[in-house]
Amino acid sequence: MKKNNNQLLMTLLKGRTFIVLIILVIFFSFASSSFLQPSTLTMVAKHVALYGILALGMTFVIITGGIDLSVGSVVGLTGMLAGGLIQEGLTIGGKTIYFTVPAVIVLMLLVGCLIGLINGLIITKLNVAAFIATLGTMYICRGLANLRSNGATFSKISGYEGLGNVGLKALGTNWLNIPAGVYVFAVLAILAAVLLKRTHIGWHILAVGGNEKSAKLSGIKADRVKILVYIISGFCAAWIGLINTAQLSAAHPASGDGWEMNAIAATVLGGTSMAGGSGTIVGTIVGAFVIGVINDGMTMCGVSEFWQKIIRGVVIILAVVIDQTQRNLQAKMALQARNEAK
Amino acid sequence: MNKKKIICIALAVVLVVFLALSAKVIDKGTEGQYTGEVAFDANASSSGDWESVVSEITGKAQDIAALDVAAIGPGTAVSIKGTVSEFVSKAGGKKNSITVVPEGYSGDAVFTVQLGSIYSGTDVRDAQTVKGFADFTNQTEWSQYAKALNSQLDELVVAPLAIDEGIQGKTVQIVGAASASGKEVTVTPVAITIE
Amino acid sequence: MKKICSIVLALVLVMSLAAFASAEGIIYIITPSTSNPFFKTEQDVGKPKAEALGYEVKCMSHDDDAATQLQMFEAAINDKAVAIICDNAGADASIEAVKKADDAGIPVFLIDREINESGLAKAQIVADNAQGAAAIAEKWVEAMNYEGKYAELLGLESDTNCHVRSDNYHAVIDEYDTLEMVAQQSANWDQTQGYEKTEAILQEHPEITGIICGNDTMACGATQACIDAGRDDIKIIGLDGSDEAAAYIKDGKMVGTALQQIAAITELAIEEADAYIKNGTLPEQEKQLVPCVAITAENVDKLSAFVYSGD
Repeated sequence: MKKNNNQLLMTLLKGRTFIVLIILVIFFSFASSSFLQPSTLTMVAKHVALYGILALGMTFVIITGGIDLSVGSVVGLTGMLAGGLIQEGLTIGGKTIYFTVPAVIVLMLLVGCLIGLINGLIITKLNVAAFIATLGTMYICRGLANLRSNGATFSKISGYEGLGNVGLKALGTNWLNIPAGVYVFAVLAILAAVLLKRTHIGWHILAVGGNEKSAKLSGIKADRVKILVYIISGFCAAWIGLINTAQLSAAHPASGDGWEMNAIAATVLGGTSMAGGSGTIVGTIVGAFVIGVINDGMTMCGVSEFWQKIIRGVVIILAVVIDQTQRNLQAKMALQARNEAK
Repeated sequence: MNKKKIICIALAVVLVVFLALSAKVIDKGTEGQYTGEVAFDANASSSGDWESVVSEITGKAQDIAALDVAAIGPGTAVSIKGTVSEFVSKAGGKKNSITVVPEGYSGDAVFTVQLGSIYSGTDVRDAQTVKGFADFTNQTEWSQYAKALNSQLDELVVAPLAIDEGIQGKTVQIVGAASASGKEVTVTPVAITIE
Repeated sequence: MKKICSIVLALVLVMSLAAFASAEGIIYIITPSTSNPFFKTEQDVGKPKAEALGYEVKCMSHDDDAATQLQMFEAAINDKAVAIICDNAGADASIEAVKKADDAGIPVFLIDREINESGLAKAQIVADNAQGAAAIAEKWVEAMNYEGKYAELLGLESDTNCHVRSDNYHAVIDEYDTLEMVAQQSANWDQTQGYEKTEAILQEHPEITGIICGNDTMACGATQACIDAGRDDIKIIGLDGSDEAAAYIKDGKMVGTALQQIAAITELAIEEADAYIKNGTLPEQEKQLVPCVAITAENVDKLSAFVYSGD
């Protein structure tokens, strides 16, 4: 009987984020009459995509036991660079080069990857703790984002026919009634899930996070794996830089300030352990939705900004506490099972 | 290993070709020809307006001696005729002004006329209706317009007269825009006649 | 399960604080963080005023993040708000959010800061920062007796107002080649940073006799740093018109500030929104400039809680 109870509790705990999500949706539908309607849900999905894509990259990083604090600043930097390339072009000598939008997107994704590569190299080759290394690049990228325009905003990101650089706005509009960012989120989420669960690389990432020494002993190049996860994280952040700029129709150097915290929160809510070694993409997606639903729900209910912060904090701590309970219970059940087997 | 290198090089080449194909190179600073946009220039905007600004302010100017000081400003069009009682030069000659006693005035207000070359305030801009705030994108351009008008008046009205201490005791006729702080009235001139 | 219950319980408790639907509809008041008394005044004045007119009011803060602001606008649209009153997060970066609301048929009334686009908001009731900065800069130049070295504390550099204020300080000051700026630092509108940067500047440039600050919060930090360093000869100005700055001006520790009449601006915006919602009447002009009042020791007694009761 006790065993059954434990099993029921276990199932509930495993699906806890999803249960919380459902409870939140039900709660907000009662609290705000306009919450449960298609347009609101589309809006929530659009907002979730922003944090969700960052959280995808963050999931890989946290699985290896690392952390990437620089993503918010990379959002700001890539947004500013993209806005600058479209509004001012790239001036070399007496000539100014204007790139088409696809080229701008490719360049920005490369910038994101490059910053990830730098993060990874600092962490692995110079042996700097991930927290410190990415804290450093966080400040550097934010500084560069401001330097790009001396703090001003690039507002002409729709481009000009005459310069052949029209089109970035498309990333901020709806395609078939669904925001473009949601498509990007969906595609990246599928790619991430496949990468993590169905490929050798995914297995290597989990192995390095679980036990780096034994992973190395079994022939995995742990440093390469670590560098790769930061590149993935930078890549995801660059997408957000582009999507956010397109949605705002402007590149603002303070964009993405503090978003790394939302990404970390979504990842942790999704059950990825900060100690590394375990985590799922589906969990992260549900975690991102929990954050998004809380944000939009509280806004529509008129909860004051200070209360919003407190509630967000409580939710995150509770999530980790429950995570811990689950782990303990799991260990206990395993022990019980072994005893019974004897 | 070699295979990997080849793939990397091939990718790099594709990337460079892609970027080269998608780039449009123009001469620096010639964007206007492609976009049809013109940058805001406060001086260009004000120089065309100067004549109409002066005639508007002159047309609606009220005799300052007859006005209630409390009702002056910001940007009230006024005319003042009187004797110069004092010439003051501050900031190494960059902030000159005269104090004028209007003819037949018996109140206790003090009337100061700014003579540059640095002018305070936006009274001239605020006194005219040739252009309004709505004609500009933002308050920065609106304030640049005020400054441009002030430099116009220095260049066209005040500087040619080369006023110095010698003006004390003379009679002047001035049209301008005024504002008041307590009993101190400051006039920014758009037309000066020394008799 | 207990924990999940307690989450829900906590949420229920907080939600019950929120007001219930009212007859005239919902007005959203979206401002920067209310940890700054200036923006707190917007909510403190706006909420009761709109509630008295029969509206339900939801106060939000976008924390100067344009993306958050856009999300709040979208939430307001889905919540079928009847109007949005907003102190926006950037003249260019906010255009899209206002456009979205306008497209959805929700009137937007901007307060304090403008956007670089006309025809989207029903009204832009703007504190004339340019004029205010120039006006107080002139008082400061006089206090400096037209000469000396000085430092400048800038606000958050990604904020439009930071540049408007700095540019207009310099439009006045730079005409005097006897006034020389020896240090210029951003203190991000923040009091602690204002204090620390001032301490550092005083170490590096003890010869300065003036500090110009982009807002009162930084000016108060700078003033306290000068007091602690025993430098009562330094002429400091700020901009906003906060009570804390007013206290320093009274004590002669600060030269002055420029009051943005934010209480009056907010009330005007609510009135215009109400007139539009109930009768469809639009304000005469979209862009309305509300002048700042230069506050010095002479008139500081008339200033209280962002309201100037003089003349």
